[in-house]
Amino acid sequence: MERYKILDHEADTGFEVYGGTMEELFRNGVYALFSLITETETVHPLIEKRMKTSGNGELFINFLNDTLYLWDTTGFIPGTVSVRIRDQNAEGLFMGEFFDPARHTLRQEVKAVTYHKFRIVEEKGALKATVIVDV
Amino acid sequence: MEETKKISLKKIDENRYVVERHGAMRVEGIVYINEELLGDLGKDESIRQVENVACLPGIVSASMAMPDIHWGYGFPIGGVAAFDAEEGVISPGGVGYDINCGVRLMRSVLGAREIGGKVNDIIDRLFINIPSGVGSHRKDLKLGRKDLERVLAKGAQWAVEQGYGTEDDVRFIEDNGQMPFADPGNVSERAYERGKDQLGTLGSGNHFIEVGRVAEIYDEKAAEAFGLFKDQVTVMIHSGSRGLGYQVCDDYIRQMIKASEKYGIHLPDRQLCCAPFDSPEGQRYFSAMAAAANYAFANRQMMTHWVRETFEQVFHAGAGKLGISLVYDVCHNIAKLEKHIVKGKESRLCVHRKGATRSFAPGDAAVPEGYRKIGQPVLIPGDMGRASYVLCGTERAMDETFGSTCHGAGRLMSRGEALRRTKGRSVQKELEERDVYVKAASRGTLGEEMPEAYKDVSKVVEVVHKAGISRLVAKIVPLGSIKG
Repeated sequence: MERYKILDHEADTGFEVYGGTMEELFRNGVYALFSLITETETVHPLIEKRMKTSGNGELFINFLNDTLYLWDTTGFIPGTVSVRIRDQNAEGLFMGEFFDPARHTLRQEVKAVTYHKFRIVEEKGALKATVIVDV
Repeated sequence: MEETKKISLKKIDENRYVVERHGAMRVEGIVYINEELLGDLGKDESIRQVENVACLPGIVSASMAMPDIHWGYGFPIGGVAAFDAEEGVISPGGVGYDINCGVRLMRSVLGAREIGGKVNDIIDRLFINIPSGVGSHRKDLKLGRKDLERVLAKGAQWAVEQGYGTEDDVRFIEDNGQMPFADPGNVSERAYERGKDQLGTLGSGNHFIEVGRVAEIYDEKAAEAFGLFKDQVTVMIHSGSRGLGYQVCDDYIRQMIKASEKYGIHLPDRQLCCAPFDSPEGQRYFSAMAAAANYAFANRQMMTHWVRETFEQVFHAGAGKLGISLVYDVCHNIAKLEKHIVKGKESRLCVHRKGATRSFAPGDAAVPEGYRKIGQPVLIPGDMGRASYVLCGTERAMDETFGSTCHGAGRLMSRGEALRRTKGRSVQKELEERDVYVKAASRGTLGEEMPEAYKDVSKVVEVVHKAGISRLVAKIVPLGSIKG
């Protein structure tokens, strides 16, 4: 199954994310987000990072913004992602590496993942989330 | 994306349209635009966003948009909305993630001839001296937690105290480069963490530093007051509050989603989440936003210092001799507590400008003394290849738009579309053929930011000039720029 699709808008960029389960949806959300920032294909799973997010009703957006925080403060790029969700909490376990300008290319700066038009819907037995990011 | 529902805009005159009140709208919508620019909006949903903002509690007069209006998650970009300080709200989405993203213009005593073949050298050195692009920062700058707190409290004033620029500079910054009501204690640890290595960095995307030349003067008297003359070399800085501002916005949107429920505010879009201005949540955001705005003022102030150093290196002359001084510095994304006359009565309002510029009239105490007879300088950057404009504030802006006007060109094309169209092309070479030397941290940025991706800023300023909410003073054309 396709993991995500990048959407293109005049002022900003967004993506559609797909997943069989909520965990998969979150995981693919991280892949989609980082595909906007850098080339994730060349990231080696060398370093482990863990992250815990408590939601305000929009756990998915909060989770993605927290990965963005991790990136912005440490330069960490997740290569592989696994997620566990309980109630309004999400735990992420990432294997990846720190950004190295000699090996990684930067695509663009993502300021934040917005709540604008955000929704998760069920389509043909799978979940689909639509997200707009501010770049 | 959803299909856009039909919207009805009614023409008031050549440069203004009204969205009449309907549904949950508390006030009407007013869009400053002409027929041609309206055509460019196409399927853009921004008019719907003007309507959504009009639904928020305590909005006064009208939900407004400037001619550079475009779609902008929640509030439209180019939006102006004022809320009653007692009965209205404050919304982080009405300011945006890049708090106090803004523009500063500097003049010099140099004429275009004197700069001659040195443009490339200046641009190359600016690129070295000023960190641009994702992840770069000055290695000689280390800020501790206490330093950052002072930055957030004192803004550009902090930078001047550290030796970045002069006392004279801060007199020519909106709010003297130090927003009142700032409380560094309401800024999260995460925002501090994101901000600590990013002070004094340009950022990427549409941020830039541009060396330009005054190409045309429309108003001799105003230009003289602003210290501008034909063929003069100028420098413009466009940057904001970097990761610290993005984090403050995200932190408070998380809180405001809950606050909106608590105060029973119905939201047409979650990104419009807000709290009463006079509530603890509202005041906390307001003070954190002001602190982030101060970070942005300090940021532009530090870059100003490095611009001066760069010119000194190239011309082997002191900054004083080159006369590099501030014309003005304006915020493009901000919420401010201001007094305006509404229906004949002075009212305290929280004015949100998201992609809009303050445009205060002659005589206003907020306008620096030397400019007070003319009005506040309004700085409108365009794209990399065409032009930027200097305008001044007017009485009409005070009467109609809470002293506000447009902020820039506004995108015409999505970033992806711009990248597709520039594939295989060298935007840098194309600009060089137009005598504009550009250096960017990433090639992608140049493609995304190519001139044709933007509306022609000349058409945008023509609308605000004709509508009388600001007045044309001068046109500046680019000689070269650095991009993130």
